[in-house]
Amino acid sequence: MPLFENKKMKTTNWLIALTAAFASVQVASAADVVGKVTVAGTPSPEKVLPMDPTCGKLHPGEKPTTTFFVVGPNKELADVFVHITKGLEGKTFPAPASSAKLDQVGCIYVPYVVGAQTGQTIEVHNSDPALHNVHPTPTVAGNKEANKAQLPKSPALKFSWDKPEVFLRFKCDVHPWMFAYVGLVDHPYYAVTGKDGTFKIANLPDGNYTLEAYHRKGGQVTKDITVKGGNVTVNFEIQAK
Amino acid sequence: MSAVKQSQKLHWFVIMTAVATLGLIGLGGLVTSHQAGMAVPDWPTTYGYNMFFFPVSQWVGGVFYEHTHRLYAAFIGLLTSIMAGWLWLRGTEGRVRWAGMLTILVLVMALGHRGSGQSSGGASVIPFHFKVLAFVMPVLLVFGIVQCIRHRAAQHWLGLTAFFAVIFQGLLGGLRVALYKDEVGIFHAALAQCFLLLLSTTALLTSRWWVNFKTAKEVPSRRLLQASGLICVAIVVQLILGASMRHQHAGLAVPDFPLAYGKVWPATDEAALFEYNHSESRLDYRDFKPITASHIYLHMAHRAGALLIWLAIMALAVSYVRSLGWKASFSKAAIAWAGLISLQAVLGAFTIWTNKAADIATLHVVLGAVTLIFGSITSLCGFRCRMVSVNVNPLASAKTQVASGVKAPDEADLVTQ
Repeated sequence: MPLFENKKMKTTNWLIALTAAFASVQVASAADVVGKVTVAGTPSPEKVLPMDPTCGKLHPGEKPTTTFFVVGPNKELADVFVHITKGLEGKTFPAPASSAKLDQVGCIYVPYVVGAQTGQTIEVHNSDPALHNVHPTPTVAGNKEANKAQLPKSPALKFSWDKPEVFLRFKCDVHPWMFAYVGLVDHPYYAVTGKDGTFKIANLPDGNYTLEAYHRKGGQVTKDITVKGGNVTVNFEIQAK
Repeated sequence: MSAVKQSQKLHWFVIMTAVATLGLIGLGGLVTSHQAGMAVPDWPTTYGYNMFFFPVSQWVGGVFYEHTHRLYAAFIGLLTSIMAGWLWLRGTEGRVRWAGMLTILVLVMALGHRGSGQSSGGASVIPFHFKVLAFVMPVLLVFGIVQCIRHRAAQHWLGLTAFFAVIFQGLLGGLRVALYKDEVGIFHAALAQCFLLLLSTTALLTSRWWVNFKTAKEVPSRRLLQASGLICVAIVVQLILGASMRHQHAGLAVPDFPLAYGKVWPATDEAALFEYNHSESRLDYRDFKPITASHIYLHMAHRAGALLIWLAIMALAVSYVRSLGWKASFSKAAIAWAGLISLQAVLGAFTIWTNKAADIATLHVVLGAVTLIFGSITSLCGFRCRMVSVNVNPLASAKTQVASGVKAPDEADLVTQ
């Protein structure tokens, strides 16, 4: 029996080693695409939002503005949706079980731009003491428009669409300045730049791709990239309007 | 024409309904100007409440415009129902009378019964009988219009047709919310103008002046009346164009005036559209939809229509003064109409210069309705004068025709007529 147990242990060890080796090969065949998006030129000044008294009270001492161009001290540009537009043809990716999230805070959608995959659930929360209507307005055929009431602190509303659409707009008609935009694609290789302008698309398999950086007001910039065994750094510059 | 005895009380009630309806058009204009048409996502309920019991504390932002529009529309529905019943009772008798009253009662009760019209997950669920009514009401409306024509604008048929129209209009407003269709919104806006026209016509036809009119001191020529009638049709088309522009939710398709993107006729190729959509003027917190070539064509058609209508009314005013003289009531009315259309043109320009400020844009809608009603009522008065003068005093009519360049018949011919 001890002999048999030893043999079994050896076999198990071999299997673990083989799995580890296979996994390491797998990791070696995928890489992260990282980079930074900056803005060229000087964006137009943002406009003050005409908040009503109910929403204005939620921003004491401040005057919230539009966030068309969120620019850092070194021209870093936030809210840019970076995603693969070519190179993934014929491949399918299951929708993730986790949800993409939008919240309404101080009568403003947070975040302003979010990424999601087709079929993935998009949850919309209301953290405000005010009522909102959540009104996604897709324009791609097959993606259905909806409009739902959401009272203060009520449960999250859930949405899902099957067709890619960049950007799918959410609006609130109660507060006409409230918008959020979803970059909806049919694969998991996307990212949204943060306030430092950086992005990271993880585990992109080896291959040739076209990477697009899409800013809602600044427009699109694309670059062809090749991923082969190591991380790739791609920087974009988007022209201010 | 109905031979029913004139009632001043009824006449003033119809006027009140028409004036109140103009106010409703203003409120509807505010809803669209504030982009608040979808601020209440459920219908016929309001955020799950029976709309009459929706807490006042929640009438905020876009909800305020949309909800007050709905409540006020219900009030107009009530006024129209009373008006229709009143006119029907006065204009009919026997079984027809009770059949008509029963129709009004059943339809009012059907609208009052909300059935399963509860919101589901915050979205709209249309009650089944509302869906049925959405198909029935246009048929009844057409039936009413046919009856109005057949019975030569009998007051009771005008009232019942207005009643059918107001129900259909209410359903259209609700369906625009429930079906997310801008096209329904355009039709809703256009029907509102036609409904006001119908009420104004009913107000005129129930007036003491219309019923008791015997002799005409001034009789406009047939050509002038035809021209003013055509202008009224053109204004209706112009109002529909305006409603179509407003319900594109694309903001100002052309942001400058009197030029268009600095030209007489703007470019509409892809590069130009990209430039327009990424210009600084599009950095608006309202986030309008992107401008397309069709938006620009629509905008330019509205401008061209405005110019043509303005020129036509100016020419009409000059023609009236030439044919009837300065002091004639119809000349004064035509000059007033020219003043109204000029003011409307100025408001149109200010709508552009203020980047579609909600109050200016709404005033433009309301004045458009006033211009249509003013022109239509004065035209109808002209037709009435002409009709009476031809029936009572053909010679007077003939003399007026001479004044306006129409060949006069011989006196002997008139005697034999």
